[in-house]
Amino acid sequence: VTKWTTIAGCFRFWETFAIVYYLPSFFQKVYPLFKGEYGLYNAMIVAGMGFLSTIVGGLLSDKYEKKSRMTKSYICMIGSALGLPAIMLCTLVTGNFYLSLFAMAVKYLVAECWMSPAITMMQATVKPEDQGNIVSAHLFYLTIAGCISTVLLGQAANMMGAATNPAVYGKLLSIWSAIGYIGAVPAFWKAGKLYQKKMNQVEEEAQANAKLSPA
Amino acid sequence: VIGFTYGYQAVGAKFNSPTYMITASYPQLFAYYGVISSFAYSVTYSTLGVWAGVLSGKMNRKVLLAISCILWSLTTVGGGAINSFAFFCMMRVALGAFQSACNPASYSIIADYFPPAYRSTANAIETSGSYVGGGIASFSVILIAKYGWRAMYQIIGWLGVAVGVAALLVIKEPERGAYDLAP
Repeated sequence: VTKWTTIAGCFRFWETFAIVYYLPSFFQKVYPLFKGEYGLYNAMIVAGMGFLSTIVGGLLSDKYEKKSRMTKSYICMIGSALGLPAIMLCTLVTGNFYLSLFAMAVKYLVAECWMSPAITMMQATVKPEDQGNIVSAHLFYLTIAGCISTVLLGQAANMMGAATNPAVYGKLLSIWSAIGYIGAVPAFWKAGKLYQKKMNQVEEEAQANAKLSPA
Repeated sequence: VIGFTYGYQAVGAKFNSPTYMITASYPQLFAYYGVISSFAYSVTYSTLGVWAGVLSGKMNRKVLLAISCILWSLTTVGGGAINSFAFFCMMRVALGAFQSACNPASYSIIADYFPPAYRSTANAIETSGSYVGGGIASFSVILIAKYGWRAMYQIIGWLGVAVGVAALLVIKEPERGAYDLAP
């Protein structure tokens, strides 16, 4: 579970780091006259939609866990699949500030629900004393992936002359996001299948132990 | 905030002013922004994060979290206060080192505060902090426009120090493994 969750997370951090470090550059350089609006609306969108997405993702994960052990995995997969068209609209539109901003809001609303279900899947399948270790090891690989993503994006931006043509940032961000979102979906599915198998095993063992123990 | 600082495009009289545009203070960023924003930070964040995970399994996680918060905030203060590109880069490296303790300690505390049935929701609230923080970070653009990027770094850094001290006073260390059975 941890391995596949981490592989999926690496793809998501590939996209996340690119967005965190280069989307502000895209907006401020492509729409330099909207700096004040960008500061304000970006704050509202990232805080509001990101908050809403993570909380709803967590609540749905807990609520539907009993109905299907794949719930957590499905939430991660659906979020990734829906995030792609939204970020492409955001970064490929360079002539309408408010449309880009709207698409960014949709991206944060639909795609940022994955972290909590992913971490909970890992926590549920390791020993309590290993929970800190597993999170740190998970984040180690995710950060490496994110780091490689931004370094490569920076090099590509320099090679393609983004300083003089900021629309290049948009094109690169859409490619980087596509890699991240599309790569994450099958890995989350595999993690979900393994989580389902592990939790069913734990449940069966608990039931068997309950039958064996004297009343 | 480095993304907003680097992306800040001053216009009019403020254009190319080192007070408002970090690229006027440090033109090296044009070539090395990707490396400094991400790699310099991540190299310590990811490697020391593994060690921080081990530490969070052994020491008081509340103290680990609060002290690391105070220290990473001081790197932000330093990054704005000292006029040296090398020092700025060192502060990015130190920021990654100190922030590496945050997630292992906080997720571990959450796992001991909440039973498994509520843990996704609890983890979600922790995770949402990065979005709320990321959103609030956009206000740095307004602070840069008004006071300049160095002042903005120092304001945000000292706020972080205050939050770290508050964490030390408010958070309680839970009992380890209170809700868990070994799978």
